[in-house]
Amino acid sequence: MTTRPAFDDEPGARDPLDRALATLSVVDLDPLVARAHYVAAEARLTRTRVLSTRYERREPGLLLGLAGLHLAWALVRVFAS
Amino acid sequence: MPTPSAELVRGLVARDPRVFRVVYEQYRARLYSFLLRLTGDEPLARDLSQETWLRLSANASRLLPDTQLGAWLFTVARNLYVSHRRWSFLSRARLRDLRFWSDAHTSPASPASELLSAHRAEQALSRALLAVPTEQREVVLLVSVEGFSTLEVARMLDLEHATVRKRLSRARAALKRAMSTEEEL
Repeated sequence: MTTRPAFDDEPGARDPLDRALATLSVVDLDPLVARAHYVAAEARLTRTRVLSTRYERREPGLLLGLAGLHLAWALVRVFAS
Repeated sequence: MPTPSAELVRGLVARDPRVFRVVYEQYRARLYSFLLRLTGDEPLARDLSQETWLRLSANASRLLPDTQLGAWLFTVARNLYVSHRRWSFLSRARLRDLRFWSDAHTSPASPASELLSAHRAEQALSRALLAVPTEQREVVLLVSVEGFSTLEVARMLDLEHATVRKRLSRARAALKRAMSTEEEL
């Protein structure tokens, strides 16, 4: 007795349908559209990078500022008591 | 020779525009062809393609090191189409309820099959693909056209492996039937 596979789904190179599907033409966007899409996506990528860099640069300053405020408040309380 | 996916992912995480360009050149046409065959609608395929690239640029820094870029891009593109269909169906259903829409408005054959190929045999196959239900079409496009394995597609579409195999089998049977009818004509 032979065991049949559950589904006839394994694409095979000898099957004309699979050959036809695997060799379907690749269609590209119109060059102007492709360029416009690229520019928009790249601008978002670069903008995110600039914002991120700025944030990273500001972050240490922000932390130092907060630490300074805490220190100043502690000193005020010490001298006031 | 295409750059390995892991290297591209590293570049994208660092938001390197040169790497983004390489990825865009490598996948642009394949992704657009997939969307064109999936949607059968050129303007929609164009919009979804752009949205997919915008999603990549917005999420580049959050990619995991083991991300398979091809699978990521095709999954996002497919999910965007599913989302579009859901919304357009809802709005159509609402219009039908309000009696502003009848199914006679549905356009018949799409010209996308002609755009997809100048060859008669390929046009016939593209038409046959568009006649297959979307759930089966997306599977056959990802497996037989794009070369993903059925296991990869199961992960991409968040489906059971058996479901993917069943859909693929049905799609191939439908395509074979359609192609033999075309040959008889």
